[in-house]
Amino acid sequence: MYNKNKIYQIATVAATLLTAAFVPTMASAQIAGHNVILVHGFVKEDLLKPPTTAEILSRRKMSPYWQDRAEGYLNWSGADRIEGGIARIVFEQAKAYSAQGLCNNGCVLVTHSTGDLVARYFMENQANWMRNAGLKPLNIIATLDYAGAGGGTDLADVAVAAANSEYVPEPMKWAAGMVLGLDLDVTDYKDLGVIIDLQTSVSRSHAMAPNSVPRLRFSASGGDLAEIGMGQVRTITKTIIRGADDTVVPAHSSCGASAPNAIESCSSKVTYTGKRTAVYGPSGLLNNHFPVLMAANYDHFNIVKDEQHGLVTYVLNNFMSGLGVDFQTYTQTLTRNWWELWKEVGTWQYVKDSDKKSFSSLIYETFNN
Amino acid sequence: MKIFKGIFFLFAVALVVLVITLMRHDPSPTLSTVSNVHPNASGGGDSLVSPNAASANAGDENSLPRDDAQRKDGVPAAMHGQLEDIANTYAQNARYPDYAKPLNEQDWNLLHPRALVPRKALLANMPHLTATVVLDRYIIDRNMEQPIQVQLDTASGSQSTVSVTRVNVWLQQKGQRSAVMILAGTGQVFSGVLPVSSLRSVPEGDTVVVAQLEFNNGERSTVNAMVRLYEPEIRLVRLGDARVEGADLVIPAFFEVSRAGHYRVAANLFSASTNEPISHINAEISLSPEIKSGLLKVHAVTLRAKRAAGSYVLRDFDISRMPDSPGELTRFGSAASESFAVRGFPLDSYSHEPYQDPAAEEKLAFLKKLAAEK
Repeated sequence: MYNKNKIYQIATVAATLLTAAFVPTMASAQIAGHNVILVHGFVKEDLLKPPTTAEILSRRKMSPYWQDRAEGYLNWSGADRIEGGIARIVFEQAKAYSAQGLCNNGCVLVTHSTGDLVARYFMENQANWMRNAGLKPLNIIATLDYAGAGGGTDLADVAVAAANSEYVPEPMKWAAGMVLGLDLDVTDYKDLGVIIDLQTSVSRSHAMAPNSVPRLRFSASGGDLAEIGMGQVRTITKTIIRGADDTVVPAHSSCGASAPNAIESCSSKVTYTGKRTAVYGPSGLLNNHFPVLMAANYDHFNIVKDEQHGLVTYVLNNFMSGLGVDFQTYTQTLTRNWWELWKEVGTWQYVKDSDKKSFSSLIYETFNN
Repeated sequence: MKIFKGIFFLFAVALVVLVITLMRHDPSPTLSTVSNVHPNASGGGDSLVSPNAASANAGDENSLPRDDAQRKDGVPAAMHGQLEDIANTYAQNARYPDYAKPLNEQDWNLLHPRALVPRKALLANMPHLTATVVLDRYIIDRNMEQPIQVQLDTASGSQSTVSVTRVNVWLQQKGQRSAVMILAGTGQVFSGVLPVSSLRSVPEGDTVVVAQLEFNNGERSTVNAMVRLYEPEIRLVRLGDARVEGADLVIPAFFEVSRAGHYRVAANLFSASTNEPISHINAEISLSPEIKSGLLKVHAVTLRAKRAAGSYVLRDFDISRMPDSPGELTRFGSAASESFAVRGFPLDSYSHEPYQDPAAEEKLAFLKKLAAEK
């Protein structure tokens, strides 16, 4: 019986991988001439009902907008750990792409949320693993990271703490559980899957060696606090997460900051709203991490969808990798007449057309036009 | 008195009328001069208005400055300027090899390898108090005792007289618990060490450090932190005499190795005289019980950029055995000493060929392509 099940399982995996490898994908779009591979974020249902291998391989969790523009997927389950099941299944898919030659001309990974950490761990180890498997490593030339959780999140810290202590305040436990799809009253920490890897200390210990892949970061700080139900959850998660956040991930993570500080922006010179002013930004960035755009009205989930949620600003920094480069931009200044006491004055910077296009389409069209 | 009331009433009415008039006025903000500061971009600036006004005018082409209205189907010029800066910065960074990047004060992650990021925990039964478990490391060698602190903070303005009288600490993993240790202290800080005997009494891997707080009213709370305990598979024993080889400062490193594998040896190089950070060294070395030495290298381009001829100190070691296959856990190693001295050489002792990374060229070309105005 065991053998029959095992054989069936292996056959299912093999069939799915063969399908993924040899059936042409529907998408034909690329970014600047390079194939796109999607790495989705944490799927909270995974912890309640761990998906089968076939379900993982066939899942399409990134937005339809990006699915239409992707040639491949590196899927994974949130019930697994980064160094365990996630590494194994991601590598299985990557092997198929290597055999297929999908990235011979260079691939761009588009990641969302925990996909940032999954991709980082894969990129640090894939050359070694591919070599040992007699295959050519995927040639990844850049990543586009939406709401990247590679620097960890306080929500995971609270979730793991709650699984180990009855003294975590109930509202925090409830809110963290709602976002992560957990009942933290009954969960043992060993059942938290990738949530353990998303703790701030843990995520920042995975695969941190410098490499040559440029990581373009897109960060948000919004979240509708008025929405019935989730609005209350977000109100609490925003108090749990230190500094600016997108309701799930802190700015230090999504910006790619080198230190896990409670920063309020990806830049010390411009806010998420686009106002040019002094703000608590990162003092340093991780190697080859480049925050590109920020938005105050997008949240952790809609940042990757084809939905327009307000204006987008570009990051203004005077450092990158400690090398002291100025990000120069266009500005216009809003002044007020003496009687317009209520009007906020200052200088704002926005990306053109961000009042009409979604965050994702703005990036894709800019990169492809 | 009535006169004052009348004047105040008239003033209030006038103010309300003024406000209503202004509110009904064209909501477009007053835009002053455009400062187009990017040297490489052409064309006009982007649509830059206050957030509120911009939202109100979304989709209204007339609200855009003239140049932008004309270029609405084009790509945002300033974003291309920014992408060009990213490409330039990437190119600058690619001049330095991954095996020895320049190290700066703001590189927190490199200067604090394996760090435990402390979390201030609110306590359900003591709302006026937060408690933080502080340890030097998240990844901990089971053979080295670890200092530990529990720090308490009382909410400002709290009138509570409840205070912590005792802090007990233990390690917990998979149903196993170490012996309880009592931390010394009073007031806000309780300190102690996790002894080797306790660290070795639980298996390797994810382990919870539990701190139990006892209060003077008889109540208790717990806070915790997760650490990862390891048994070293490799130990850096000593460094050999450094030498110049072409454009590199080469530092032989000698290890005790219990298991063959592909190891990553990361460490930070500092100036011995000023303690200024110079380079983050990151070497990948294949080692085994038979092959017990490898080379750490620093390229002269990094030393020249930092104007650091030496001598040096090497510390902040982070040694790990990389997984041979997916699913295998990363294993860890330690160093026999917290720091090692490294000899320096005059900067003109090194050859002058630049470092070139072929892997970076294609990536730079991609970034330039993104930045290019079409």
